[in-house]
Amino acid sequence: MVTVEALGYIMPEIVLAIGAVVVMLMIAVKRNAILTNVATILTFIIALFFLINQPQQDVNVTNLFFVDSIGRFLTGLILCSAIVITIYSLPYFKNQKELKEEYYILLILATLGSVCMGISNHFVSFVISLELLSVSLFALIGYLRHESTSIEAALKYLIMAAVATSFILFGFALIYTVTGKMDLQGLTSFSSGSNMNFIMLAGFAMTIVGFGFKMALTPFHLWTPDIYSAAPAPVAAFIATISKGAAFVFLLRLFYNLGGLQQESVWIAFAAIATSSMFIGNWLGLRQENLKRLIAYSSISHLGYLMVGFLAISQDGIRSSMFYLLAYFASILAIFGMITYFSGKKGELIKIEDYRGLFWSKPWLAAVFTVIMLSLAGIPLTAGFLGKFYILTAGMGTGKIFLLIVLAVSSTIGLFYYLRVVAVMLSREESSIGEHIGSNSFMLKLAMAVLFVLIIWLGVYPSSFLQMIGI
Amino acid sequence: MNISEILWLIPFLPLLGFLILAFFGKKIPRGLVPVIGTGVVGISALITIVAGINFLSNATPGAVIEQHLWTWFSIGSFHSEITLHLDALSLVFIFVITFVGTLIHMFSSEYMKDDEGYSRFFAYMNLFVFSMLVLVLSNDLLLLYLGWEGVGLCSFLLIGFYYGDTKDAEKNALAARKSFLVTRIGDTSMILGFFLLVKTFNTLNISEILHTAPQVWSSDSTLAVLAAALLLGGALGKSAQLPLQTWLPDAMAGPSPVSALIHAATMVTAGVYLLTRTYSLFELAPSVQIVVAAIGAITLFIASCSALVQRDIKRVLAYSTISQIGYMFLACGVGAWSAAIFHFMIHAFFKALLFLGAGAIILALHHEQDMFKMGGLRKKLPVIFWTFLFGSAALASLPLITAGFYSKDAILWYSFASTKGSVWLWILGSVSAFLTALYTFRMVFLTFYGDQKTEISHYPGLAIKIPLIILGVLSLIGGFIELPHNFGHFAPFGDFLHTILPPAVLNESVGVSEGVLQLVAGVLALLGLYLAWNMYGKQNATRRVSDMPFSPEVASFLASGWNFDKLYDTLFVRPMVWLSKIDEKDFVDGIYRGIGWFNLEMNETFSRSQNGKLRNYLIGIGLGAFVILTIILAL
Repeated sequence: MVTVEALGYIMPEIVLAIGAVVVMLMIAVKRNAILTNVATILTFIIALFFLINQPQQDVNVTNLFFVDSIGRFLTGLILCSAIVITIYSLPYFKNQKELKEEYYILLILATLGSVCMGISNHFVSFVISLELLSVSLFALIGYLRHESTSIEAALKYLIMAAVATSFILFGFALIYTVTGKMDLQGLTSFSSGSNMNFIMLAGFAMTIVGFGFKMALTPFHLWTPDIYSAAPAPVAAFIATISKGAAFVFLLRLFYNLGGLQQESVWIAFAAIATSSMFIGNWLGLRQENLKRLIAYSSISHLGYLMVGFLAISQDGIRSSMFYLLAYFASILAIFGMITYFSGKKGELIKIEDYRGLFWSKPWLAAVFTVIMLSLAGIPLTAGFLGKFYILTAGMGTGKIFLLIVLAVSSTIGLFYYLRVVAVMLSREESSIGEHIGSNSFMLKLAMAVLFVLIIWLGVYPSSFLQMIGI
Repeated sequence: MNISEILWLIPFLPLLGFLILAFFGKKIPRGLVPVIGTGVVGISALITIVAGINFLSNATPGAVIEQHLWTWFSIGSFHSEITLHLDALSLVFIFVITFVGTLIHMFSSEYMKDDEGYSRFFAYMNLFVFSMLVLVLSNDLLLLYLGWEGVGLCSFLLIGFYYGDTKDAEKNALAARKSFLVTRIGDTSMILGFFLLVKTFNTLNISEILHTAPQVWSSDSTLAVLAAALLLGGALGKSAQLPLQTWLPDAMAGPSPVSALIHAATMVTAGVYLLTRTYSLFELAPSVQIVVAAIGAITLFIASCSALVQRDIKRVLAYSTISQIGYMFLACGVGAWSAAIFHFMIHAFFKALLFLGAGAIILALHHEQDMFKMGGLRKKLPVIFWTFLFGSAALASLPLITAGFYSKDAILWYSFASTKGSVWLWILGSVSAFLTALYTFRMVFLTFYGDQKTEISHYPGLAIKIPLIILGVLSLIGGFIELPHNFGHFAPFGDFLHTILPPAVLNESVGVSEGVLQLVAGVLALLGLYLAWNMYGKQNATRRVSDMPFSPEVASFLASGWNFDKLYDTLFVRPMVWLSKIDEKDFVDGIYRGIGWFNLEMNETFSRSQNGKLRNYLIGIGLGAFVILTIILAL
């Protein structure tokens, strides 16, 4: 039964749903990009307000949702990221011909889908949330419909996401066949024994494929560079962070609850995916000239690192994964902020070469850019370093040395392309990059400054955040 | 006011100054730059003095004040804490760093006035003060290392400060590189020592390590000796002691205030600080302590010989710094820890004064550094003359009236009378004391007496005079806070330090009384002064033209610092270069090139999969599904 009290725990989600409707009605009354943008941000802030004021306890809201500390952390992370992305969107779309207002409805809906994925406790609620997210994303990716690349990317994503979802559904169906259950707690009670039969394992394999696609792990990663480079920068930021984080958290719940990872072969399959993601992601980045594609490859390897924390199968593993998500979100959002900043009438500035000599014309921006790159590469005193460090510690605790070696070696490969970007910025050459600044939005700069401080803060004084995610 | 709550301000303010100057240096009006640069250090000094008074009046003996700022990370039982730790030893150091630092910053505001990199200079200097404060205030090996590397970095940046289009740009850059590389040898040794300590005690906390070490290690056990020796390596590099002393004379390429602050008063004494901070490890390794004493004694002798024949006034002071730090090492080696720290403080006063004085002279004489082209400045620059004279008297340790006498005398006495001392150490120390007096007054007489040879282009202003006067007064009266034992027991400084450091153990059967040795030391110093007067001072002194009565070979041998540079060049650099030349095309390179090639090949291979064709991408998903099904179902 749904009680009013239980509804309090999904207030953030309810607020998002109402927000989408309100924004839609607002547009019907009067079209105004700035007003819509502010209303969207307000929606997220109100949702965040309800989230913060929730009692800190684990609660089932009907059979469909389960709100616990991981869920709350992820919801908070997604809402904050969504605020940042909304802030990016205003200056980004300012120079586009398209109608700008409907974009925000889609953004709120996609966020709602992601948040619900993070607290889903049931196959049905998960699949519905996933579809809410995916359908919104098709439209978002193809939002700049006058550009052919944009439409192409949206179609690609549509087809492949459909394939991935069908894998997930098939997997869920197989699991249901064996267990007769669809809610995670019911599955937990089932999984205690050794009764992992053939069909159940096949179900696991199918779900892994689907999730592998959503999180862009190899060999299901092929879509990422095309989609990232064709989608508008704020949307690409959304795909790179929020949609992956939400999928990861449900994967975590599913496999930790079902005990699937105790199954040696499942663990090995995941380890193989993680290993190949780390290596192939970094290899692909090596000679990449396009900044957005570079981020795509970088995110493939980062999700690989994240899987190492996941595969530790321990509380430390969960905690380090959550910290890693936080560090990863901050870095990726910051770099998309940079791209947004340099996207004007002439389009986005996405060739790495375009940033040559940035340090000498815009030292502050270059410093922020450098810190982001160092954080992605995992250099000490940045968030990225501690994220990797905690993952390594968690992995060390379980004695899975092989993955740790892969992590260390592949990070070294990655160092090459991160530092190359820094080197390009530092090279002493006249740069005409100033002409590409789209709009000198104060909010955009503020958001980037906050992310910059966060990256350093997490790298130097992480304990405050560790307490927050002390799951 | 509770000190433990404001301690963080002391290092923070210089950091703030650095950040402001580094990021907004170009936008700040020129007049404001020295105000910020000096102001932050000055406020730090004031807070230090308040904290010091508070500490002295309230604290029980051996008290420690700690301010826990935050935990950097914590894994199981292993923590890295960012904690500031104030005890008697660090109090002395932070006092010298902030107080002398303020005076030097003030001096620089005039000295560097016409330089293009005015704000850059103050930014580096503030960063240096911050790092040095972190170094002496930390109670955690990791944080100490941060400070240690921080000062090394600032030293590098400031030695190579004149890097632009000046005629010496290349030489300066090379000097900066040399200092960085040579100290790096020591740093490597030190970090290995830290690893050993962390491995053994499983903590980074220095007090805990010092507390546990005597319970875990027996005296002269292998690990104790190894740990002490490795730490000593770090100290030798930073403090420019044998065999790593070669970088300091070249480091004079930096501006004079830099030499005063970094290469005289503070950074180069970090080695002494390290030894004293970890004294219980050295007490556990008597054999290493003997080495410390021997290195100190030999270094001070070698360096004072070299100082005798230098022509460049700053190089005289550089060699003199090496030799004075040699005295501190000697004191540490014979277990007279507080005497070493006392000499450190007095040395900081008079050597900073001498470097600043030399800087003022160089500025006055159009950047002329050759003493043989100076002369006759006594009447023209009276303030500089008198303060320089005070500083020189302290360096030469003229008996009774100078602070240097009291601090050096204590070291000489312990080198003889301590259980760890020996007559040989005393002889080396005393002979060098004589040489010190000789080269010091050679410098004074060459610079200020005789005929004027170079026109004065810049007369010092107040910002130069005030620091000189304050330091001059301290060089004379600073010694009275610690009188020798036979002068009646008045030794508040030593008593203060002995709350945390053990006093030196005296040999019961010393045949000679302290008074006799003091007499000898006093006579030697006066003899040096007399000789210098005869050779360089009095009217028509012949040596003003022909210098020391050495044969040219000996003179050039000494002038080059006993040819250590050449020795290292032959022993290490050339063989290394030769070896790497003939070994250029070995298989090892192939491995690394192979790694690069392999990764690029991989890049190429996988890049082909990113061809933008949807059907290929779907095949990828299909293949992946197949592989995963196979793994899960077949294994």
